[in-house]
Amino acid sequence: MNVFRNIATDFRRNKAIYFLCIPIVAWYIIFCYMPMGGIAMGFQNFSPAKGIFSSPWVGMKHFRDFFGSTYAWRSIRNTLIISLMDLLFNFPMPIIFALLLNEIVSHKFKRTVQTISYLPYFISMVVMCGIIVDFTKSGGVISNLVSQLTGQPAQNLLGNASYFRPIYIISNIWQGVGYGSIIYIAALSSVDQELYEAATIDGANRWKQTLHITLPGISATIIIMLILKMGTMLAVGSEKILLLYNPATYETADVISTLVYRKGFVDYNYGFSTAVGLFNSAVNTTLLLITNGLSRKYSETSLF
Amino acid sequence: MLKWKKISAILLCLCLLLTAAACNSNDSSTPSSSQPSGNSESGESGGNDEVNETALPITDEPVTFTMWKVWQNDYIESINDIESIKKSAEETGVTIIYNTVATTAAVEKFGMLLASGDYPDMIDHSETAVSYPGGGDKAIADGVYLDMTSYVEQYMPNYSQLRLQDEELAKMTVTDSGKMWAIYMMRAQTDGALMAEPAWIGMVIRTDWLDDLGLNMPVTIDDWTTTLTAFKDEKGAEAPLMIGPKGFVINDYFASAYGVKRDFYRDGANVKYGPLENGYRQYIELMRQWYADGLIDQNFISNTSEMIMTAEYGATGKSGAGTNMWGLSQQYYLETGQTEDANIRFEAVAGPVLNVGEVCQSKFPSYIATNQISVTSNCSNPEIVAKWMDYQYTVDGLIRNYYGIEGDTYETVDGKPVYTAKILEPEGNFTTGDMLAMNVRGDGVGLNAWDRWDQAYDHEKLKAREVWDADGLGLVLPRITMTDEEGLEYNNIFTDIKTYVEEKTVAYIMGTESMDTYDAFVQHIYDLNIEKCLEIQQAALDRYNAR
Repeated sequence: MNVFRNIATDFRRNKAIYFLCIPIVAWYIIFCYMPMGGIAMGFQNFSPAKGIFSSPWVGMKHFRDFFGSTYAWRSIRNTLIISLMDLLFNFPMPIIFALLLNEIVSHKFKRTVQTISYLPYFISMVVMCGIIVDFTKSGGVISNLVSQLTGQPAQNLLGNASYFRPIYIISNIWQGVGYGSIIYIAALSSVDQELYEAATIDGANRWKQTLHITLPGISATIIIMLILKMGTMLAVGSEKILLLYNPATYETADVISTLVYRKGFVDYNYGFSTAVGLFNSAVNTTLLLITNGLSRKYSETSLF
Repeated sequence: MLKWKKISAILLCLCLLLTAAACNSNDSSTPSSSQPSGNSESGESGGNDEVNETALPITDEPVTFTMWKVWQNDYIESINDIESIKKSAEETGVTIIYNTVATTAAVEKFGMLLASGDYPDMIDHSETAVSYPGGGDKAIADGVYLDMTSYVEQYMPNYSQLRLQDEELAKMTVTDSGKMWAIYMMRAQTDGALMAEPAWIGMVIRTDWLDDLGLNMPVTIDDWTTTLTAFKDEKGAEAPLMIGPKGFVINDYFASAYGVKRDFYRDGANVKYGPLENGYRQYIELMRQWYADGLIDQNFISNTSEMIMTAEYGATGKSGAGTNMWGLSQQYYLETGQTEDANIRFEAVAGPVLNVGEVCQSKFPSYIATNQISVTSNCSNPEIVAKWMDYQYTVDGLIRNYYGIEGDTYETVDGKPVYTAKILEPEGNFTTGDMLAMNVRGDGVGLNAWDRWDQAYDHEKLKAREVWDADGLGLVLPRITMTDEEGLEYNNIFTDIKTYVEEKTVAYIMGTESMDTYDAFVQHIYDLNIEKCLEIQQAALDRYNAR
């Protein structure tokens, strides 16, 4: 009862804000909550003509098909490995980049570097993959570089399964570091300058200052970004992998979404794709909740 | 709506009465409707001596139907703007409004269309760009498409007669249970005679290099090895033979010399799976050797296309042989300015064989009936639709659809339509193909006059078709269909098998895996339940043969 009275009071005071919220809440209800009913497709032999109410029910068949597939576990393994590598290498990069940028004294130089670093983000994925394929062919720039470093003859790097993940991660980093650092740069500007002065008086050098002032200062942002990232662990996007992989690299490149693409694309097998998507979301949500819980316990920040 | 139904019902009754009255001795099984008033144009054609007169207009009160079609064009907004389509609407009294979607969005949009239940009157599957999940029988059972058998018998004499001319054709145009789930577009000549378009894709080879090196066209696999080695050693070709990303050439040439194809193929009345047979091993060993010797593209897995030789391979002297379409053979790269080498010349070469005297059995299959147009259950007047569709199978319908409007886009010379300069010598940066796309309907329900390209294209290039068409079809499976349940089960099992086979094939060819594991490879395919897939394919083939 108290809750309702509080809400009523709040409403009377801040009518405008509530009204402002209506379109947003409506959007969520219509596009995010209502379609959840579509999960039923994962348990049916869905036929577009029959619709969701008349398609035959098949229970867990799609899940059995997915996990029974020879390549299911391989694809789950690959998905997890690629996500973990992404987390380990791609997550710290924007932070480090933001910290480094912060050190630059000349304003103009800083701005220029920032702007240039954003640019790769806007290159379309298809163009990016075309560039990668070209550079890693036997005569390409990158493969020549690699061959000089390793002493072996230049080979088509994308034809070698052990090179796939590094190529994928490194190109992700190159494309994402500039854009991803924006939020950290914003967080950095909110760290109180007086703290730095106090630390200099106490005799801390740049490195100690970074460790004890800057990082704790933006730790809230880092943790929130981390929690959000954990919520996408199993959702390694298929588009980039589809463009870069080939039968020679299936061993390391085949992820859940590409497996589903091959299995479910023919014949409009919506039921199958929904079932696997449901599995993905379930795992992602669990990871999100765990990370959130851990972060609430061990630090003061958490998403909810 | 009710008023329309009444009027069209009365009209049809009138037509029927007049038909009964005018019915004369005619060899065909259905009477023709000839009205004394209106423009009556003859549907006579050279190839069919019994096509009846289909009178225009088809209906006195203009009707409109909608058709869903995959179509896109950079120069005009809507296909409904095309003059010859408007003219056709005037003449026949039937206006077709096309709801078009772009090629890239076709599959998605089709799925949404089916899910919405809001079907247009007709659906043009646009050369299998889209297909009903589960096949024709299921579409009829689900109540989405109409079974056109009765309409074809009553209202479509031209179509009926054409499809019954050939046994294979009659089989191809029905489902396994004999229902007509769609009306099939048929490839023909401008005079109305049915003819499948000869194979338009195959392998080409640089004959200027052959001449320089004093070599003949390679016929056997040994010839090819010699030729490719010469290309590499003496012409400096980095990738003498261009192959596709999966390790195969179009039509599975070279593999077909050993009697197999890359997946399912036909051996008499039986279905076989390539990788299980000995011929596949021989093919892999051949490719493995060629890869090691540098005779095939070292970067083949990064090749984006299997179907054409891009300028990167063909124009730069990187490759001496590979897949291409006839339009891109001969001196195409020189004509389009992609190379400066004035001697460059690619000519078509027939499929390789193992021993002299054999003929390759794996050409690109060309069928008479390709595209399918279905009438949906939402169609308000299938009789008129049927009659309209039947008109498209007459020579006049063909001319309107492919040649356009007399005086504007074609002239009649010696009784044959000939394109005008507007089409053949276009102004600005347009090609003949562009001009045709802007002025005529082109592909769709009816006859398809593929010989119209003879007027526009270099005959040297067109000769390539004959070379490729001279090969045989012994290994190629006909267009069999699986039932819905079969299809789902098959897909489930086969996707994994396909992944496995592709991975291993590429690994063997590139040499990353030793041939000692080959027997285990074949055994593993059996473990993955390939026999179930073979069963399903065999059942489908048996049903097809029994149609």
